[in-house]
Amino acid sequence: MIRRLGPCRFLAVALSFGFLGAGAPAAHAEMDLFSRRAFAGVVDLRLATADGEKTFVDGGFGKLRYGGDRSGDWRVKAQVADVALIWKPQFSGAFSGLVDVEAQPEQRPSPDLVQSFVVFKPVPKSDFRYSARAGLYWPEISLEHGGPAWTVAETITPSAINAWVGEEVKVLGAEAHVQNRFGGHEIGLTAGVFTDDDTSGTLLSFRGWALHDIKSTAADRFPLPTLSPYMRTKQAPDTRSRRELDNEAGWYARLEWRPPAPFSLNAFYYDNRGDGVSVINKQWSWDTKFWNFGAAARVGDKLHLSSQLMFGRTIMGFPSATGRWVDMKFASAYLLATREIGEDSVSGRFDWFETKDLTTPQDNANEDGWSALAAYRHRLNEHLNLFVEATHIESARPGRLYGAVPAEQNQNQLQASLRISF
Amino acid sequence: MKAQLAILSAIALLVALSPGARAADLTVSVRTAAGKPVADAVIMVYPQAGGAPRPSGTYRMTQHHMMFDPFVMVAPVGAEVSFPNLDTVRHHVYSFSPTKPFELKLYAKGEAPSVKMDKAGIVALGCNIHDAMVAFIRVVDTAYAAKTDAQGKATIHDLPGGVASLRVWHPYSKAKAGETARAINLARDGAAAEGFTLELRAAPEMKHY
Ligand SMILES: [Cu+2]
Repeated sequence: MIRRLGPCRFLAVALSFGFLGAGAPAAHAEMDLFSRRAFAGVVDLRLATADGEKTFVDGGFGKLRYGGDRSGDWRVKAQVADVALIWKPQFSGAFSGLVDVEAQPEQRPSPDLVQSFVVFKPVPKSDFRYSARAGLYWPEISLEHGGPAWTVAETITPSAINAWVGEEVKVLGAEAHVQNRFGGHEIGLTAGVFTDDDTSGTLLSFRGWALHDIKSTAADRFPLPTLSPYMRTKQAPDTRSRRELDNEAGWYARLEWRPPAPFSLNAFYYDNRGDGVSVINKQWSWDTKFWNFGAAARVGDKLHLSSQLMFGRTIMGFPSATGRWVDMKFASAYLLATREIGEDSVSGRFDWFETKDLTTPQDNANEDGWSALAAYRHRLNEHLNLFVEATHIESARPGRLYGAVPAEQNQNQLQASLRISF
Repeated sequence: MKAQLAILSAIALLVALSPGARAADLTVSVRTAAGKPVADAVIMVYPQAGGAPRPSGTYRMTQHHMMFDPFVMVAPVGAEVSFPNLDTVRHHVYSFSPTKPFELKLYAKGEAPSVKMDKAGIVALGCNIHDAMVAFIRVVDTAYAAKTDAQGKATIHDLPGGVASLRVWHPYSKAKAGETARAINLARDGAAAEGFTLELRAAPEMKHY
């Protein structure tokens, strides 16, 4: 029933929660729906060049946002990589909302809704505090993203883990968060239920890991590279990011520990409880489960380290003689080091990623690879940050042969981004 | 002439002998066990002779670049502390400390709501919008209080001589209630020095975006 309402329901659900909040008794001064401060935005002006294979954006197997020309030589691209307009209404002291509409040149439709949620967060009366959120949002997994437009803080390109979170781990859900402090230790627990993330696993299986900053939207489709002859008849040539196909809600939970020391640790578990076989227009319900472990630490005054480790499994299709159509384990990890230099920062990141196909040799989803990245962020003023970034990536994926592309690929990418926030 | 000199001498002697008439300066330096200077430690001296605080001047706890400034503020009982927002974003400052629970609901750049600190103690500050924003106000009921600088030093001027209680507080001190105390005996004039070694727990790691 709910499915027929289309993508507008994301907005509808969030707004109905919002008006619920607005209906609560609130002093007039706390309400701020349409002042200048209730609006924010981000514009990303990008100049990029890359060599190597064709990017997945154009239907290739390339793992970066940009790729080389037909012969694999450097190709230059200038684009407005992102325009985000954000509405942050404050319904009362405890009830707020966020609606994020973005135009990304690679996405169709564009502009489209990217986030839409309401937050209930009363002012704490003691060390115990709680909050809740409902709508279309990313669960808290990424240690790299922040800000109202879910931008990457210190680099242009997020890690393989968080690029995938940006693509296939956004949910239409509701979550509750509780937090307490015991002798300087802070423990936080978040649990959520969600729908509309049944296709999660599709890109990871058919394209593999990737490193880019394109965010999934409410109604978008990501292109898939050339599928194996075995899968071509079963799976559509693209994947819808937000679909509920089997009418089973998924869930996730997150535990965080902040000791009285300059580090924090968290553990996250996700299960979309997909049945693996429900299908509409060749968009399948995948059964995807994963763990994510995160650690952040400060060394001295200026050096920040963060790291995530993710591993999981995704299953799709009916049982066959060789098992399910897709049954794949996936894992990735990164280490990011950022050093503050005045108001600027320099970052280095190493990513490792792997997938292991457990079934059907007719459709090979194996891959392994790594990437190294260096970035510099220069703060020009309150509204302007200039990023420069270099990425090198190497990967081996036998499935590239379905698109007549050699399995082993190396690639380099250079980017400059002027990020304007207002 | 001689009589006048005698009277003047007597007055001078009386002034010199009366408690508090001549003042001492006390410099306290605070370090960690490893010898690193400890900034933002609040030094409080309670002379037996007393000395209630006199709130004067302005007490500003600004919010800038999504941080409170200063991180630690010393304010006398009765001080009116203002909270100017210098950011373009709204802040929602609160404290649930028993010393002064309050809430300054969502206010914008240019606004500077204020709160009267009517009781001595610790007021831990937070912002309901930005969880990483943390600061402390130490409300003191003595006229003789100061906060250590980056060198870990603070000097309190014009202290009356005699026995006094010297207390040192730091938000991250591992001591009970964050406070270390000792009795001192101050000479009537001149300069005195005291040293403290504090064991601090590390500041928590905050999201840096
Ligand atoms: Cu704030």
